[in-house]
Amino acid sequence: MRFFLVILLVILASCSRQAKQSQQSESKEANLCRYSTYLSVFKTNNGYLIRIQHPDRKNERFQLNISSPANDLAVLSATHIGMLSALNEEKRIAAITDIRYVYSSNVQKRFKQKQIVELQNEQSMSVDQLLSSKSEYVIYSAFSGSFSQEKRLKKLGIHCIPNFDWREQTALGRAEWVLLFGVLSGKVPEAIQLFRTIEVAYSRSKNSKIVSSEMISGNVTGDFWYAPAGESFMAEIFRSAGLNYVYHQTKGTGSVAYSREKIMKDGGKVKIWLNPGFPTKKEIIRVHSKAKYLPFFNNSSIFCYTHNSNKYWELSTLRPDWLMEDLVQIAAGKTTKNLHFYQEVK
Amino acid sequence: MMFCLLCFLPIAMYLHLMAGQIEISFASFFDSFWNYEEKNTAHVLVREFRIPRLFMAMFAGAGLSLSGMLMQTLFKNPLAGPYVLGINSGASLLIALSLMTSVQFFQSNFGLIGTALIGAFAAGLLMMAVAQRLKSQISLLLVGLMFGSFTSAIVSILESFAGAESLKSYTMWSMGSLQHVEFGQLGFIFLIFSVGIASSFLLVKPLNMLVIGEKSAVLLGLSIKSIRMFILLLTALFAGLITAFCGPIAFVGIAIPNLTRILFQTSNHRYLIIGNCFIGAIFLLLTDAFIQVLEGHISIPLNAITSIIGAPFIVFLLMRKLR
Amino acid sequence: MIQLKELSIGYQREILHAENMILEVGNVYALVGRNGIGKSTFIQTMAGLQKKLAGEITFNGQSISGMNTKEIAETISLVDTRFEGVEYLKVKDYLALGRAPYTDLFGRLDPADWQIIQDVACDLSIEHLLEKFSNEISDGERQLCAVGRAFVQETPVILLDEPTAFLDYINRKKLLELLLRLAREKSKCIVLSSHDLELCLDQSIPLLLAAQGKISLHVSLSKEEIIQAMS
Repeated sequence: MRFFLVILLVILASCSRQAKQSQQSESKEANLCRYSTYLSVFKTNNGYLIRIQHPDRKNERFQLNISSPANDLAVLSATHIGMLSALNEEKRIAAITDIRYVYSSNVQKRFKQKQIVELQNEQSMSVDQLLSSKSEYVIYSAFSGSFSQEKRLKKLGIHCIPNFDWREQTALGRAEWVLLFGVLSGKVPEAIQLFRTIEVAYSRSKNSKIVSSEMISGNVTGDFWYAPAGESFMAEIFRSAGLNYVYHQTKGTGSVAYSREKIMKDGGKVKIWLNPGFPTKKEIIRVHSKAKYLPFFNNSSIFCYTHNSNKYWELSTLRPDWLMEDLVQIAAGKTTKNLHFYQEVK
Repeated sequence: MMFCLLCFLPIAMYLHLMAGQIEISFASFFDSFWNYEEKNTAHVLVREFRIPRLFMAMFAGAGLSLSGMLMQTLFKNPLAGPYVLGINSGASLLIALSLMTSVQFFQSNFGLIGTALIGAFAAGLLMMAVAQRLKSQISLLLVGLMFGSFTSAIVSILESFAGAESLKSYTMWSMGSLQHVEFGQLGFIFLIFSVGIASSFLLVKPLNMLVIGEKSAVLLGLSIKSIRMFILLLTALFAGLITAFCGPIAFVGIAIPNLTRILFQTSNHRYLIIGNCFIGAIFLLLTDAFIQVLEGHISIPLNAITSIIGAPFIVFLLMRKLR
Repeated sequence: MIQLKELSIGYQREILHAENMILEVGNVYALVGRNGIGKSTFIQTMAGLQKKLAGEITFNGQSISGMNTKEIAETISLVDTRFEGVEYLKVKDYLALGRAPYTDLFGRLDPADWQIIQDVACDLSIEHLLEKFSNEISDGERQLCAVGRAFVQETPVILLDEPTAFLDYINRKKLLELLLRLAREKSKCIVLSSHDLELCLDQSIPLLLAAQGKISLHVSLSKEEIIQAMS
């Protein structure tokens, strides 16, 4: 009797396990996103289901079913514009935050033709302007924690979609958010294809080992030098590019703040300086007069994206492969003119 | 008391020099003066980083305390400070225009320091022109405060239009920093400072007379208009110079003159001038040494510490008075 | 001596008018009148703090309009009876400020100056207060110190605006007697405003009566006549 009970239990257990497994494999197959932690996209009978997990609040999930492409979108961050322009769908943009930070020439042209409205910034957005743009969807980033206008806009029938690409911890996880824009513009297969290209290029361009001389990143703000910490997103990218980052062993996923003296001491052997935040040496000195005493000011190669910051902020999230190609070239010490984002600072 | 201070200043200077995160031997200090080598990191550290920071702390502490003392005596108000007349507002406005707009006119080739100097100088001239026409102290104070509010309003407008990077640059400037000054500029600062302090000694008698009130001072033979001008000029000189090199530093100019009076137990400006210089210098030296010690763990801006110490001290002062 | 000619006093409109009068050296004059009539304004105008509307004030022939601040400081001293004391200002230093018109650029006092201060303190019986802080003594003591500072200034003219407000009867009498003695012995001309009619009449002090928009000098009036004039 006991024997039969045990057999029965085992059969039941394996049945449920099998059921779970098939359920899991079912959801794994259906989710079109493979790297993103927060975004999930599922094909449904009449379109696509978007599910966005809030990074901090585990119980909060945004879900929306989209059956037809949107005609008017309000996009509140540069990365959103970048992804839409990669899909050639800038025509769907009806509102942006600040025209000064736009790289896409199509968007600039449409803005001049008064087809796009400017909303200032996400925090203190002008709701009247938004309404005049007739946007059906607002894509926001919630840099400050939450989107203050959400409730009000919902009442007006406008859908607010959170975009947490900036919270993703992996480069491909960030780039994969292009699928969201694929859904919104009715170009999902193209988006998937684009992402595959990026995925392949990115993985191929990575370096397996550290090949460069010592490198430092960042600049002085106020009295302290801020640089990415060893466990941060940027430090990971540096490592993948083969860059020998001076602070790769520090703890934390944010930034480290060091005194000028410490940088003087640690920078003795640095031969590459990334992201000082200015396009020319003259401008660095104008704001930080003591930069000229840094050991790596004169005898290292300095690279930054500030000659075209708009391009960097718009496209680097979508194209980590380009970023990787740039950094790998910098790591190899080749100062070429074919860099996507970076330029040498002289 | 004076003797105590004389001894304590070198101690404070030593503490400040040694407080940095990087260990530098005494020999290196010596060498950086006599055998300066550009390539030697330790020498550069001492000459271009530590020494300027040390002297800037002393000049700023002494200068702000002195100008605070002048303002407190002139207006017979223990809460007056070097900024009541809006001298630093002029500097702030010009810096804001320089950093947050792309108008070519404001992009000076003198760097931030030059820009701030021009702004402070202009504000000082404006205040002196106004003081020429006004009869009473109160009016002058009000004009100064209104000027300060006006420039703050303009800066707010600039801030709302500024991009993230320039906004951050401006915010950082307004947090105060002793580390922008360069070794070569120390000579200039020292010169102006000496002239300023020597001139303040000429004011000892008028300041002592102003202690009992403007009317009584006039009846004792004080030429109030010219003395007021002179005091304004000196205040603008000190406050303007320091704001130009360091940005606005909070509370030092208000708290230290009061502290000096309490410690020295006198209203005689002959002692107060020297006392303020020493106590101001020692205070900023110790405060900055403290910041340096913490630099490895947390990054604290200068104004944060001076406010944290200064504000409760002023509350304590007020409570003493109200008792 | 002080000579007033057609003096018109006020801020924008005239509130008091003085015909011609001469105040002699060696005398104490008491300025009496009802509250708000303009006694303080009169004293301030005599000291040069308030601009006269019309007329002339001359000191030994020299007009007040032609004197610079230093000359005024050596001629007139005004007792600041509303002095509230200053933190960390010792009484002796407060008194020493009275020597300001005569000291050098840095305000240094020589032994002769300190002797004057000592003598004045002795006369006013405030020697025991010299080392105390001016904000830590009583109102009456402070008032005596204010008087002392004017004495230290050694001017031929001394003006006092309600100097007896905080003093007790004994001190008021003492002060008045001291003023009379000083005026006589040191050839000073002293004007004080006061509400103490009895005391002034007792000492036969000439009165400057401020009533109905006019100031007039009276040497001998009875109390009843004065009260009638004032109402």
